[in-house]
Formats: sequence, structure tokens, C-alpha cells
Amino acid sequence: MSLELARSTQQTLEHIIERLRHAEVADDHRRDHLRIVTGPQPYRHSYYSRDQFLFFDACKGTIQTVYGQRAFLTTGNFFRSLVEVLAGHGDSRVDELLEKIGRNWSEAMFRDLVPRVEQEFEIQFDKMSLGMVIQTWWWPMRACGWGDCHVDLRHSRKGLVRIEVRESALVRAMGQVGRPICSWYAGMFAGIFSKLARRELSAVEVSCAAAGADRCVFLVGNPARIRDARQARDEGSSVETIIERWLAHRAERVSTPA
Amino acid sequence: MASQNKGERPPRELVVPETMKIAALLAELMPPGSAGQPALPLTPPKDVADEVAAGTFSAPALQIEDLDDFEADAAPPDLVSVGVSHDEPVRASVPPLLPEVSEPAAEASVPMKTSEASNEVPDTHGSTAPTTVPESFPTASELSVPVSAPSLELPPTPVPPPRSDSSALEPSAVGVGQFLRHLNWSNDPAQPPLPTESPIAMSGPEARSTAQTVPQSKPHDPELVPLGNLSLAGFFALVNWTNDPQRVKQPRRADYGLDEQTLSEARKNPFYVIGKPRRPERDSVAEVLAEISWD
Repeated sequence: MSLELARSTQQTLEHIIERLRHAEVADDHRRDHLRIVTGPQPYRHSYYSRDQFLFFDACKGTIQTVYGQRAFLTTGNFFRSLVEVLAGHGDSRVDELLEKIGRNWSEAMFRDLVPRVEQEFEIQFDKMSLGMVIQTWWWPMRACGWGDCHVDLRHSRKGLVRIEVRESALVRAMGQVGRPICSWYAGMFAGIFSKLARRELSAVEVSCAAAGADRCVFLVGNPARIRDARQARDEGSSVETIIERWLAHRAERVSTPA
Repeated sequence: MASQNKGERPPRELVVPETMKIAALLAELMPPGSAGQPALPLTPPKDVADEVAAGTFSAPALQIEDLDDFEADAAPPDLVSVGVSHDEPVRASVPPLLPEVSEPAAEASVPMKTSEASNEVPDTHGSTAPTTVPESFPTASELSVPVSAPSLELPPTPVPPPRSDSSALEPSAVGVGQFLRHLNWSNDPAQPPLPTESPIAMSGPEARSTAQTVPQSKPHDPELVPLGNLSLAGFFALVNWTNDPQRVKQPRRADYGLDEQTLSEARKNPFYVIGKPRRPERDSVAEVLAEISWD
């Protein structure tokens, strides 16, 4: 798992240019639309396999990602140890601390994400498709073993984003504990959408594979609405019920403007 | 004036001569507008009858010039060129028409034998077309009026129906869509193979005239493929079927409003629409996040 960030954004871009750029096609010009190119692309995009994404330096004994980030391979013991250490400060704060770690990490990743997307796709960040931006952000995480992520933007215009994660690294590490434990992921989603929306957003895991579900489901939105969703989750409401209440509350607010 | 003339007529029954009744009946048989014109023959014209009897797509009838060529050629007349829809004529074996006739006798018999020879030419397309008058045309005996009939009531006269299907006499008017429907586009083995003799195949001068008219297609004919001057090889050369990275890059035509570099490539593609407003982007980061109401 890659837990070290790039030393600087410039170093990230240098690694991208060195390893992914096709010099005969790329012109490094930021357009307001995707450039139509058939055949070799200005930058190679399909590099998320293990042998293309991770580079092992035998002389230094280090592993680097394609972006130049230091990475190390670990097992579930790392997360179990982390949770044990945090639990020593109080069980009630474990989820909060994990969420904060995830949020800070995704916000730091966002600083590299914007120039990386613009460099790799030769397009202005705001002109790129939102779904493609999110996938471009998550694919390195998937390549490092953080699971598969699917973002549902159908209700995004109503202030609700639904995210599903399969093969969560935390669930694989902790096993079936009977309660939602992927607050690290919730923090990452809250951080990335807060950066995209340029406002403070929160996220909550309403269904977790560690509690018997087949996948982990997260909701991202207004902090107040997230608190309501978390309360409904603790009361035992299903994901569909929580979303229906969310949308119904939204409809009431629209029909009765203040 | 007319009313006065009618009023002056005596109220007695006129005696119509028999010849005038026959003339009146013949006048009914004549088509309108043909008054004063020479009387039409009761049988269809010879050229029309030959064309109808021989079929639209069979070999043309032999003419007097063909017989002259036969006799002038020193080579044995066992091979006769029969024009078909291909450019290269097909050589078909045809028995000699007048093998034993000497030259003076042949000259004397040419006017009479021409029509007979046209009937004796074997049909290379497998459809024998007798040179008989079709049933739709009345025969002379049917149209003849019994002069000695004492009664004025005549039996109903059969009138040839109008020929609404003009394409039967004009094979060049066959549409492209009708032609393509006869082809096995799905490569279905259950579908019988394309017969070598298409029902719309043409022969002789008809095929040559059609081949000359195809490039000059009508501009608004929906049945024609608007390929223009683009050849088939040129059309498929525009598409990088082999996904060869060394090939020239081909832009998509669904995108509008590109930069100059992409536009220069798009201009090379005749299927690329240039100059239209750009398709609005609805899923971009800016558009989506601007529409979200997080409150």
C-alpha cells in the first residue's frame, strides 16, 4: 500500500512525463476539451497493473509508484496494529481518528490530482468529466489494494453522493467485527469531495462489509444531513431507507422555501 | 340555336343505316383524341409485342443487320455474342439460323425470316419467351364486329388495360434498394445463394446505358448511396480497421468545436461535421458541482 505522498507536485509531474509520455504525440497544452487522438495517446493511461504501477529499486530497496511516491507492501497486521494503538486512547475516538487520517490524506492527494489530471489528459481540470476525475483519483488506490470504488452521482444534484466500495482493505484486515469500521474511507471521500465542491462536506458509512453486508456503502453530503444519516444507521435503518428519507427531506425543503 | 334545332326535329324514330352503326362502334373502340388519325391496328405494334413477348431481361431480338453479319462472316456461325449486363460479352452457342440457304435465297427470305429468327434465338437466361400476343391484348377476332348481326346490342368489347408498370419496359429504372435486397448481406448459409441470373439483370444496350447512367445519379434519390467520387477502396481506407498506431489519426465525428490541430485532421475526414456549435458538456467538474445544492 502506498502510504507516502509524493515529495512535491513537480516531482510527480516529472515522473509522469518520464514514464507515461509519448513525445511524438503529446504537446502538453491544456485544452478546454479532451483532445481527439486515435492510436497512441499523448500520455499512457492504462498503467494500473502491478508491474506497471509499482517500481522496485533493488539498489535502494525501495518501492515507488509511477508517480514517484514511496510505497511499502504490508498486510492486514498494519491496520490491526494501528487500530490497537488508537484504541489505547479511547474506543470512541478510533473512528474519528481514522476518518481524520483519511480526510487529510485525500486532501493531500487532491493537491497532486489536479496537476496530474491536467498533465495526463491535456485538459483543464474543471472541463473534465467529474466521473472521470473521481476514477482517475481512485484508480491508483485500487492498484495499491484499497478495493474497488463505484461513485453514484444520480442524486448529486440533490446534494447526495452514494459510493460503494468492494474489497475494503480495512475489512480484510479486521474481519467481521459486526459494525462499520471503514471510517478511513469515509474520511477520504469527505476530503476529496470537500476539495471538489470547495466547501466542508462529510461522509458516513451506512453499510459495511464488516457488519455482514456484501459491500461498503458511503454517503457524502452536507454535515448536518450526514449526522442524520449516521443516527439513522445506528438506529438500524437500511441504506435505501436512509436515502429515501434524505431525498424526501430534500423535496420538502424545495417545496417550502424559506 | 341548338335548342331550336332540337325543337325542329320531327318526333319520329330515325332509321340508322347498318353501316353507320358499325362506324359508331368502331369509333368507340378508338382511343380518344385519335380522331382524324389513321386507324390503329387491332394487334399491338410489332416492336412492343416483341419486347413484351421476349421478356424484359432476355436477349434482344435479332434484326436484319444481324443476319447480314451472319452471312458476311467467313467464320462458322456457331458462336454468337449475346450481350448481358457485364462489360465482357458472353459467348453462347447458337445454332445457325440459315445454314443451308444460299445467298440469293437468303436475301429474298430476309424480310420474312427476320421475325421468325427472333423467335428462334435460344434464350441464354433460361426463360423462353414466345412471340405470342399476350392475353391482355385482344385479338383481331375478339375485336371484330359481326357485320351481319341483326341486333344493335353488341357483346362487351374487351379493352386492354393500361400498363401501369412502366418499369417492366425500363430495366434501368430498377432502384438500388430493390437490387440490394436480392443480396445475402447477412451471409446466412440458409439463404439461397444469389442466382447467376438476377431477375433484374439486364442485357445488351440496356445494360450499357444503365452503366453509363449510374455515375450520374440523381442528387435527391434516396435509393442511391451518396458516395460521390469516393471509391470503395478510398472509403475503407479512411477507417483504421487494423488499429495501426502508425496510421493517420482519425477523429470522431461526434465531437464539435476542436482546436486547430484537431480540426486540420478532421478536415481530412469527409464524414466529420465541422462548423457546428460544440456539444455542451454537462458532466464536467464545473457543471456538476455548480448544480449541486449541498444545503
